[in-house]
Amino acid sequence: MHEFATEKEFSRRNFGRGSLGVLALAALGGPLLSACSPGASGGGAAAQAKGTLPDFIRYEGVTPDLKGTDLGIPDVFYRYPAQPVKALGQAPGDGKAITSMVQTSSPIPPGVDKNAYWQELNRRLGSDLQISMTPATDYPSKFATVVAGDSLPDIFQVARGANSVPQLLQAKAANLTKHLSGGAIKDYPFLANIPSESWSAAMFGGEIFAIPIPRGVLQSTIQYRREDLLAAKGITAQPTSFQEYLSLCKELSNPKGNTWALTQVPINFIAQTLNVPNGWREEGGKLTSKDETPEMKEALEAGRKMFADGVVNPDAFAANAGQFKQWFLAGTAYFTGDSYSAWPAYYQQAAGQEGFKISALDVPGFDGGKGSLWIGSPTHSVVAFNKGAGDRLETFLHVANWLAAPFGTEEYLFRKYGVEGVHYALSGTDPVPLDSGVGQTQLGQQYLADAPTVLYLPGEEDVVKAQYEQMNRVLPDGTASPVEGLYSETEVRKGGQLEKKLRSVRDDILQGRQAVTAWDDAVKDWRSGGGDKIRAELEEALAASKA
Amino acid sequence: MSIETRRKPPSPLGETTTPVKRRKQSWWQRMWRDRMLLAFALPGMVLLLLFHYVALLGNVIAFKDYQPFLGIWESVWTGLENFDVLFNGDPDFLNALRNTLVLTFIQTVFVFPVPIVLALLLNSLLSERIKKLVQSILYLPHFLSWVIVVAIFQQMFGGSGMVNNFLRSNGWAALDILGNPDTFFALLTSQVIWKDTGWGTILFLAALSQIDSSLYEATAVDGAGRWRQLWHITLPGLRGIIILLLILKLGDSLSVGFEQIILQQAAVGVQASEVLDTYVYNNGIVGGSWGVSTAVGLVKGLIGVVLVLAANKIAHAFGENGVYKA
Repeated sequence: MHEFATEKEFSRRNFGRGSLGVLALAALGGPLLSACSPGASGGGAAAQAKGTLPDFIRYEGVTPDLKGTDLGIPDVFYRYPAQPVKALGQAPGDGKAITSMVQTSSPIPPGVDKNAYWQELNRRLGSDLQISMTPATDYPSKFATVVAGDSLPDIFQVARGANSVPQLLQAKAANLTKHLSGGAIKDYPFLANIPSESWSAAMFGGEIFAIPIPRGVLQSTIQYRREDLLAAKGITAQPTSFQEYLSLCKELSNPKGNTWALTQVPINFIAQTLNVPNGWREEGGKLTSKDETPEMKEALEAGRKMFADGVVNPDAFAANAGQFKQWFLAGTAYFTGDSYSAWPAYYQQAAGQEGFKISALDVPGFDGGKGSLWIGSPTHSVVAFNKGAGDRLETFLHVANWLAAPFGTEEYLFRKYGVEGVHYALSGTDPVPLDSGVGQTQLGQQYLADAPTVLYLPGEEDVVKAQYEQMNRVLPDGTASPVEGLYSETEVRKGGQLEKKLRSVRDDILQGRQAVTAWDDAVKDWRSGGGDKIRAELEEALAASKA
Repeated sequence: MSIETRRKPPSPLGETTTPVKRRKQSWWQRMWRDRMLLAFALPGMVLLLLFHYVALLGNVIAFKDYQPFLGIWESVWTGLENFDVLFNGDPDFLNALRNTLVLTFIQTVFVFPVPIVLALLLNSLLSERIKKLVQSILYLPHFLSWVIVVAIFQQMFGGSGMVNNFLRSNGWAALDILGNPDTFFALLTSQVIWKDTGWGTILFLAALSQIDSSLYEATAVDGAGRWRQLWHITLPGLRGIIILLLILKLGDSLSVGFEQIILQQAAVGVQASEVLDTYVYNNGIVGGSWGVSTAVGLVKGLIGVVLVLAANKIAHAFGENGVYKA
């Protein structure tokens, strides 16, 4: 599925290339989320509480093969419904061009004049949808520049990690409260199908200024393994402690053959085995950062040992997420950290590799027992509409509604897979992408509006089933961030820089350039540099949200 | 840029046979006379104005608490607050400054002369064909972007790259070439030399070809050897261009390679690799401290101007032309 294939979780914090992808991914589960998806403006969460979230009206048109859960595990489908329903009667557009701006993680597709998919999309929308795409890593800079130049398009994805988002949206984005709050959203049934937990990320000062791109739990980062390669070596059992994992990695690494067990030091995975909190730990309204916990230092020591033992690719700190994926796919690494979204994507990228099979590790305790997975944010990012939209605002919302048509509808089938015979062929009722159409359909439209994610990979029932089962084993013990959706101005302004400094010390420690004790000083600097202020602001917002 | 001087009486039409006394023309008349030349210069002027001078106005955000969504006009004035990092010594800034100065020193003292030496070597090649071939090969790396160069270095010298792969498969210990903070400057310097030395020889080779060959013949008759010729003819012949390039180099000497460094920063850590340009980027664009970064950039620009002016003064003192005449 394209939305899977194109997903690459980037944030300001892992903006620096080559840092540990796992950490970067997991950072999303951390306090940054409050930066990505602030819950309220200066007034804190109290202001948010005043507003009314849009009603949640679940789309009941299709029955999943395996039902999703309240934990955020998505619905599972083995096959695409035989007769997809055309869910919307008329084209949402008004005949005039609509400009938009999104991030993308795919190669830039052919322009509209050479792109049959884009032309058909415009025809179905009833408006020319102009999309300006920017690679995800550069999007925050692009977004900041466009904002500074005051040239925001009609519809824009708010960059994750953008500064002062509440003030920015209040100054530049259309207020959607009247159209979406409470029962008003029923005019846009597919926006109403977006779960409430995601909507809180789009509320600022009690008003709705954006629509969220929901992701359920898919932004959580897990440790993948090459099940096919491990089985060939007779290894099927999951490691049940850190020591077991380390021994396994030592057994698998073969530097002479240019093969290492790990693509990078799995520092966040180790931290999760030690039950390090997901960003913050909350006790009686008091917050402790994950970096302040003694367990974090244990994790660093364990990570340092792993790197020193030579089970990690020596280029881990110089390489980027794309290279990690390559090593993993090429079998020169057995384990890699990535988000849940990557599960089906790896299968698509490994097309042609006979017997390719992956699975994910559960999260064991460091010394046996159970660890706790850091559950990622339920919201990928938010999308806003230009304040100058005027009467066209409803048109834009209808376009967004169309773009959020859920799995099972004809609109969804077209949106993700294109036109039968041109972009995909039917195998049974499943769309199988054709080489000729590949690349045309990835316009970044999933970042303008999207339906809740489902687990579905055409013709790969076992794969989605395995993922669903792993999720059900791991997620009940997982930890959500206690500050999800809470906003701290200092976090937004200085969090990225502070995090970068910590990360730089962390990388030094992992590579043995500094002693683990250096962490204490780094955390002290973090606290005095703004960490304590972030904590205070988040605690205040937390108290307000509970009141 | 007057064509007046090239007009030689009598005119082709032979209307006048005696040189006319130069009448003072008005500004507009001169403009009109030179309109073609001006038209040629115009696109360049527009580009220069738009992207070098108009853009300078943006420096005003060094004195503001700039917020992109407010825009330049609406953002609050903060006076010299943004310059605090410079005067109160933010440790990260000082670290970046120190790294920058070390790199500037290395690049000026060690990297700058390399193309001169290479140009002299090339010049001493007798076969024109071999010379052309060598030149072409040496020019090539200049046209590769830093992304490609860094990728090539990673494939060759990375922890799992070709060299280390070879070492390991023969039972030797692998070398940490790209991830070693202690040798990072040496790595940067060798990359710069590999990439740009060939290209840098062009101007020197042009200058070498201008040296009158009769001078060499004359000294040869007087019994001067190769070294004496080099010292008394070749180097003095190159002196003007060397000084000119050195002054220009000083002007942007604090720009020590943004792309090259940011691409390799993760492997060695910020401590060893942060320079002013990456500091500005990491703080300004990534970290959102636009004002502070602009302040740093502004000061950097001012230092560059001062260096150029000072170097030019010194050049004049030594009787050279420098970049412009006093």
